[in-house]
Amino acid sequence: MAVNFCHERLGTRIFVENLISEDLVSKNRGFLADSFVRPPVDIIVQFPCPIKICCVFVNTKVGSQQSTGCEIFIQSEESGGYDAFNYGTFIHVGKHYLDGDKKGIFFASALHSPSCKSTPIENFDRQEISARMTKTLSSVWSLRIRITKTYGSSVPAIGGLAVWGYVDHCCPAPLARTVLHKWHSLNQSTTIQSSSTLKVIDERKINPNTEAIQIASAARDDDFEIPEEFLDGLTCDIMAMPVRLPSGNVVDERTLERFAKQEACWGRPPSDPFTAQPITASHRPVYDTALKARIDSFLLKESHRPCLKNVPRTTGPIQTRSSDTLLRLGDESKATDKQPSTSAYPPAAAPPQPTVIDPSRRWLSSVATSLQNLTGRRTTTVRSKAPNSSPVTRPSGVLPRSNTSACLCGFQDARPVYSLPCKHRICRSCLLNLKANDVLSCRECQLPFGLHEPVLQHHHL
Amino acid sequence: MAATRRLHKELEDIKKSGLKSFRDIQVDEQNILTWHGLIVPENAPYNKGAFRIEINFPAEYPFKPPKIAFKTKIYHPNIDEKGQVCLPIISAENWKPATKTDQVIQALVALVNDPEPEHPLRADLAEEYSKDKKKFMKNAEEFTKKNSEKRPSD
Repeated sequence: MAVNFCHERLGTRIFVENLISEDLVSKNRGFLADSFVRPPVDIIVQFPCPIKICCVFVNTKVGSQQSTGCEIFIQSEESGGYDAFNYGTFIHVGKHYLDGDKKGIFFASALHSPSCKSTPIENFDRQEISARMTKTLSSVWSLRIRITKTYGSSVPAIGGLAVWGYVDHCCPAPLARTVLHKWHSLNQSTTIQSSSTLKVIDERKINPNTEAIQIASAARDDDFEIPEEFLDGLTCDIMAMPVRLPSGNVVDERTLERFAKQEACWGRPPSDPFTAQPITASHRPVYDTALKARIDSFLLKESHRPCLKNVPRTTGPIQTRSSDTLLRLGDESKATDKQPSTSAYPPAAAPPQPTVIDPSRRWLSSVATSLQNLTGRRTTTVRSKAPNSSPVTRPSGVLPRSNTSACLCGFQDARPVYSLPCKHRICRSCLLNLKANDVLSCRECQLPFGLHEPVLQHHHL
Repeated sequence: MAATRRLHKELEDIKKSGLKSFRDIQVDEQNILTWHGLIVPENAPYNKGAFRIEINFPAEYPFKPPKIAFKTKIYHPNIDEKGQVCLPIISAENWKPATKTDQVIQALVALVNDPEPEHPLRADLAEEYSKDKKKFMKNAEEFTKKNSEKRPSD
């Protein structure tokens, strides 16, 4: 079984403790040297037992700080006490220089390809450790990573480190068993095995020492079943965003979208995939947030299981999702017919309300001149033009929009307003637009006018 | 692939339910999208034999319907010489993702047992079936005996 030895609970020692910390926060902080430190900087990792190294991942970026050159050395004998300055006899096994846009280096030994399945992480440079070094890579006690170059004026930095390997044959059996047991229990208990840069290697590699553990874990996985209620009614996959349909069935949001798309191909409106009942305001799918919470806690608890590794997850609030058309369809109708049943929609998960404003409201929002500022005659005309308006204090500053407007912008702000010979009114910017397009006619009634004809209208007219 | 989990579940359910008219289900471990099985009709004239079929599921299953093809030749108005069968519930237009494969199979078995000469794929057989049923029965029985698979003993 391949083991990532960069983990403090395995008994690995390193003077940059962040890199092997169990605490993800400090782990993500990585290693940053002090600003006066220049390369070369050495980081020594001491393993709890002799190991055979398969591969080494070095994430060389922490924020904007980046190391661009890296060398690795190994030491095959136990150096006894832990001492950062005790260099001992380290053997150079590989070096690599990075381009600026790469995230890190992935040193792969000849052991790597056949025996462990970890694939290089995206944007990592792969550097083979030459085959003649393979022999030296077994029974390694410590590994030294030397940062030899940094990007520009960056300080030496390492964002993450993973050393994958096997317990060496020369390791005494009790020690090997303890380490493997620790690794196994680590995999069982950690919810998120690796930081984003460190990949989990398929652990189903048979090592005689661990066969028993392997069989035990396999047996557990056979018994393991995802509860029926967490599965999509159509695809039988675990749901990322459960949606309860009018028929009572629960499917994933993506399933429903896909189904709606399929139905749209046949020119049919979105419907319940189980009953074919069209989706309306009173019969519409709702997010099942309670179920979602239970699925999430289940996934978190069982996240070590290989069968749950590729389960789709949601990130962030639903407000940012643009595709929930079906649910929004229900919501749009909600704006017009105010069914009490639609209040079942969870407010936290509700997509943004489409701004359906009735005309009188829009009129209100665009009104800028308060009625108090207008003359009495003006007041009566405005009132008669907006019979629906409720007595709300209006913001002051702009002329009210009336049905005699030839403006497309609806007099958004206090711009000079002109009246045309046909008595339609237009704001300055729209008038300039008309002039630029060489169409000197009213947008409303198409009556042409001369350049000198528009008359500036004053607020108090 | 979206289809895999659902197909595994359906396959398990079908095997568990032990349909009498659909037996000997074989699915390649590597490719769950293709199923093979044996249709064992109840009604004459097809009750003299059994018919091998292949069900092909698209990768988009259950959003797209499966396709069924007869691998054994059959003398049937709704099944053509190539083994294609016209089954409304798996037509692209009528397909509902909630339809389970065992429902599809039951519909197929029902169609085999009771031909529908109104919607034929082989007009000649449909005509024979509706005009001269005795002759059709005789021909179909002979054809079945000659071409079909052996029925399972139990």
